[in-house]
Amino acid sequence: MSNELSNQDLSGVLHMLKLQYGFDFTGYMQASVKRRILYFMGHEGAPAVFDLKHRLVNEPGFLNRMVQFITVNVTEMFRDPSFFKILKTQVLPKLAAYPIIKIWHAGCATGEEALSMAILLQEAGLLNRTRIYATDLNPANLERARAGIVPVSAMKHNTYNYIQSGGQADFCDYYTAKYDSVIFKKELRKHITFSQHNLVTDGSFNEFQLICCRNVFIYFKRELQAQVLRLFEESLSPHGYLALGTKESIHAAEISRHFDTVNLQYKIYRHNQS
Amino acid sequence: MRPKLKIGLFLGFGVALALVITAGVFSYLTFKNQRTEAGWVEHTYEVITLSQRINRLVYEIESAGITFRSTHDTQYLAPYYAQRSKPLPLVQELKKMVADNPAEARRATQIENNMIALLNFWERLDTKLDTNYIFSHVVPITKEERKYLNEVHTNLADLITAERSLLVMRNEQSNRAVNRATVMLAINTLLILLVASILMIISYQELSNRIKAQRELRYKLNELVSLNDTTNEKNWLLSGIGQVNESLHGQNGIVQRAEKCLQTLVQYLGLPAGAVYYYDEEEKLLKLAAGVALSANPIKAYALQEGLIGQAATQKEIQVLKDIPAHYWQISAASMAGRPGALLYMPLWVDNRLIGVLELAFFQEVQPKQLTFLKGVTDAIAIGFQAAISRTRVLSLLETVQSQKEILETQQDRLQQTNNELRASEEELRVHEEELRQVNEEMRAKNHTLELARQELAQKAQEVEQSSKYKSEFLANMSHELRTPLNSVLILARLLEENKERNLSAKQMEYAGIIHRSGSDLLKLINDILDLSKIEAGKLELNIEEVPIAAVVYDLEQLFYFVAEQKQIHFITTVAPGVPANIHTDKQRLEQVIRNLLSNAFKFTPSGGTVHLQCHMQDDGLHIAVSDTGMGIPLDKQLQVFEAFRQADGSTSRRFGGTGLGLSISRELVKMLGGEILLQSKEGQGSTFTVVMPLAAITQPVAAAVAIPYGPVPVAYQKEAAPVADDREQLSKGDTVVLIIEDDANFATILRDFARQKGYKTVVALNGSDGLFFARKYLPAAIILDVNLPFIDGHSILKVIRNSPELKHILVHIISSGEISLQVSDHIQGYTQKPLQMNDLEAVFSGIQYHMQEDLKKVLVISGNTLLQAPSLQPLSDERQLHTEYHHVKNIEEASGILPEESFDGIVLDIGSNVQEGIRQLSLLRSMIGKDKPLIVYLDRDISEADEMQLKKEAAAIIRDSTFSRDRLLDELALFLFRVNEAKQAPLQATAPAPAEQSLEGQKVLLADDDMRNLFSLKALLSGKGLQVITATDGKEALQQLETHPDIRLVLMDIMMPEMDGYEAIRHIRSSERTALLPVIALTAKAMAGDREKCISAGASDYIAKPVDGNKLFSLLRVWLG
Repeated sequence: MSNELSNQDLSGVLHMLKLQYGFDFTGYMQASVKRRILYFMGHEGAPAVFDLKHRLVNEPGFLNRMVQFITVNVTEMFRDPSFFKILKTQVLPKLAAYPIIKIWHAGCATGEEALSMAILLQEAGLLNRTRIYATDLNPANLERARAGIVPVSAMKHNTYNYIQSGGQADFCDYYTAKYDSVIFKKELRKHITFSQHNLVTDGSFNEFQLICCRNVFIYFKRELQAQVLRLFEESLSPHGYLALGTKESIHAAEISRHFDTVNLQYKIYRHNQS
Repeated sequence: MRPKLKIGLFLGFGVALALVITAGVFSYLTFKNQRTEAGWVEHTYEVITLSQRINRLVYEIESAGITFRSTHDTQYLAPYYAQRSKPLPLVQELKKMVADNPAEARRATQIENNMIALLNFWERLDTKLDTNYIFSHVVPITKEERKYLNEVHTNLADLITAERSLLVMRNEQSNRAVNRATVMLAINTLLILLVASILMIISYQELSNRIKAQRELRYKLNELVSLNDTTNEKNWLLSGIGQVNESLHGQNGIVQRAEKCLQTLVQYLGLPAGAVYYYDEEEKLLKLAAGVALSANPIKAYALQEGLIGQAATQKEIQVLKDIPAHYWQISAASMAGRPGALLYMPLWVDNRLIGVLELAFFQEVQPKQLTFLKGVTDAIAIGFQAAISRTRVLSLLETVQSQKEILETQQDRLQQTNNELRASEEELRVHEEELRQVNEEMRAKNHTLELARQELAQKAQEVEQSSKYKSEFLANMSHELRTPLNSVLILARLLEENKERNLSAKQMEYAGIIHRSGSDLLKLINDILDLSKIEAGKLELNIEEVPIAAVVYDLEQLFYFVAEQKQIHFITTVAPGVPANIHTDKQRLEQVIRNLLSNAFKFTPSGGTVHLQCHMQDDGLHIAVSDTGMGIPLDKQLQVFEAFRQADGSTSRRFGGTGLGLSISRELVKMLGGEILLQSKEGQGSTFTVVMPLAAITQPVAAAVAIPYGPVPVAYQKEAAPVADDREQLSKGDTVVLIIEDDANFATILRDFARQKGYKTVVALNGSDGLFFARKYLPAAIILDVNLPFIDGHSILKVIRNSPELKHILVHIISSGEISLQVSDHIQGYTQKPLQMNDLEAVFSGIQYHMQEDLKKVLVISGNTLLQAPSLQPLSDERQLHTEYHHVKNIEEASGILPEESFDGIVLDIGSNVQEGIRQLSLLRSMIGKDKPLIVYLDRDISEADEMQLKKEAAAIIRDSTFSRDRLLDELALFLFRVNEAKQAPLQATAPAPAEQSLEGQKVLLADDDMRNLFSLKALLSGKGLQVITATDGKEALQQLETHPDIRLVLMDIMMPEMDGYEAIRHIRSSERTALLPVIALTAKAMAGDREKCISAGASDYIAKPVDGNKLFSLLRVWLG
């Protein structure tokens, strides 16, 4: 793996991605993107930037792989079980008062979190009147997410998380195992709309009572973070909730005064309209 | 001194004057007295004279009488006649004169009387008697006359005597008065003399003092004049110093300051020229800062000790140079060039640091005054210059700092960036970690599974053991129970077999025998089972004693001798040497085991075989081996033989009889005795069972039950904390009372102090029961409540408070170390988790404050059902301190009755589950209350998005009945009632005038979007232009609408929709023949380069990005509808 990627090369690649393919990573933290691209180059066996660009242009699927690689994804079901516990006890009961609940998972990756949310809602008896919008930048991710397929190897941990989060039903009721993967039931998935959406470039597309965007904009520069948070605020109903990853925060952003903190540790905020 | 003197003088003169006046008055009085006295003396003399005249008259008259009588000549009576009238007036005059003296007056009266008597006598003589008679009676008459005369004379003499004595007395008196007056006058004179002399002395002294003072005064005047001169000089110095100081003021650098200062000095001293050099510490140079009338090219810098300047800088004193060399310093003027008469160098030092040197040129000699002045200003100038230099340096430093700060800031920014990147890389790390973890996880999972299996196994083993123990216990009990009835069976069978009545057939007797034998077998089996179970259940008791081995062997030999004989089997017993005589064990059980082994051996050994019982010692103890030459036990069955009911072959027991429990029992028994049974066998060659008995003392295992002490769990009684002083005694009306219920006295104190600080009165309760009591007693405005409390806990208190009509409005803020449930959190106004920070406390009270103030709103609640049920809104609202009043009506009719009369700030309409009716009612209500009032719809069924849209037209919020629906209802009310004034969303508008709207008017357009906000704004926008808008909230609905409205001319299709997204819907539209050419404009929030292509490739005619720009939309519409 080449360790050399000059800033010029980097911005060249990023511009190419932005102008030709519409993937704008210029607002991401340079060092992070650089590392990911280098890692990707090593992974794909593209020793120089030229190779990278060449293959980007000529090799079908290369772009998607690259985007996939750059948009770092660690996701698991019920990641941070306590977060889901808090959602269940403190947020969902409040959402129940809406005739139709809309939830947005921004940067849903392969959809585990959206599925987790669906399960949570199912158990709260709210899934029938909930519409979960799960969006991600990466079409490959969305493809996987739509399929609702999770490798069986992850299920132990997912089950553990599920139990930790206070889940009371049998987790295995929600999926069917086949070979080395499990597929989640259609009843869960049909309430989730997976769609491509780019937090960096795209606008608000609906009004939500809850927006989850966990561990997504940690890679963004401060200005971009602020921009994305503004997008979220625009897309939240007056008393809507915003949930971020534990390492993220709205405190630095301008909009923070429009939010009350529901849970500090798990970064759950509530829009207060002021 | 002076006033005293003045008073003295006045007093002296006053006294002298008084004395003179006194002397005058006194003299006057004395003279006046003297004159009076003299008058009196004269008067006395007059009286005497008068008396003597009277006497003489009387004598004359008498003598006339006597003469007449002696002569009888009447001629001699003539004096009588002449004189006779005279005495009486004289007496009367006398009487008048002495009237002031009563004694004299009396005497005068007496004289008068006597005189009158005398005169009467004489009268009588004269008139009544003739001369004869007189002659005849001369003697008696004379006698009588004598008598009267005497009396008069005596009286007169008396009077004169009296007057004389009086005179003497008066003379004496007068003399005394004169003497006294003399003395007095003398004294007076003396006193006057004294006073005069004193006055003279004082006056003299005063005068001499005056002269002395005058002399001093003149001297002082001279001094004053000289002082004035000095002052003038000082003034000159001071004003100079002042001007110099003035010149040193101001925020400027060293050059400006030096220039200003030099100008001032030169002007003030009237000097022709001068220069200032300041010392640059870094370059160690004296640099020219300013100059007046310098030559054209003055030297700009001097090193120390270089030239006069450099030399002067090494000194500390002012130096004056005369006789300047001609070339040294030339002063040029337009008219002339001259050279100074003297040069003065003033080195400037502050705290032993050289600041600079001042050079001044003088035409004349330097006057001492000027020198003094210069000396006086040296320090000021030095300090002023130093300040200027410092300031210059500070400014340059400041600049440096500022630039450094900027650098720092950029660095900080960079750091921040790095930090953020670090965070991101941390997340990346997580990805790597995740990959690793995955592997790890699997490993761990496997381990875990193994561990689980192991644990399961262990547990199973334990369970098995447990259950086998239960089983054994059960069997033990059961065997016992079985034996009881079996005994009677056996006995009766035996009775029948004996056939004492002789009424049974042989067959029947045989049956009875079978019953008996079977019963006996059963009994044996039961006994064995009992034994085994007893052993397994650990209920078997051992009787440990010294057992002689030889005796055991002998007994067994005896026992099996006949069997061996019978079966023709060689039975050999050997006890090897070295075997101890005695073994410490239970003889009965040991014998039982060996007997069992032997009987087995005999059982399985065919005739002619050999059974060998041998005892020998090994390392691990005494071995008692029973060998046979039977068929042996195959290797795979060797373990089984010790298990209950298992023998080498299932058929074995049938062939050889026996319960099959013997070996199991033996093994268990030996185990209990501390030994073991070993088996060696080869199929077809016989087997050897060896009992290994350790020689060590057998320890009977004792199952010690772990005693669980039951009993009262010690209750930790809470020590009653010392009460916290609060304001309950000082409460007055209008006070806002906060009740603090908190068992931690320290924390309660903190809360109390904080509350006081915030202006609340506090009541503190350290336990729940007090807290509740105080809540009722003091009716506080707010309660700060702990959850874990002695006597009554916080939850119970809260429950009581919320259920008491008089307390339920009280604001409750919970501060607890634990978490609280949602049910609780809905009944309180605030919750803070311990431990608290300062700002948490602040928040607690600001929350309380916030809840306490807000004003009353009126809300009309139209509900026939749900919202009338508990919990009703009013108390919930009060809990939130919403200050809202709820007016309930049952239905829309009641509402329309009340609405025209009363004004409400908001309306809550419960439409239950009838959405269509709800929509109708909603628009009815809207028409009644006008545009601005918020309408909130409450429903209790799921609705479609289309319904939601319908409702949303008029409703500010739609609330679904649920656990927290009232909560949300109140949220929304709070939002709309208390913040209505905030910026209302500006409706989307097309600003540009539309030139040709004809084409759009009446056109039917389908708008498919799941975003209500968008749906409404676009619909309003389009309807505003006369377009007819059909709406759909997802792709499927859009397709249905297209079916029902074939006259739709254009579709606005959102891409991100549930059920069926825009791409798919567009593809469907295109695939249908009827709509294949229908213009479809894709609406999307996306802005990526590929999105447009994606839409177009899915079949969209065009594309517009959200948020939709009205003008752009209309342009598009005109294009596609034109």
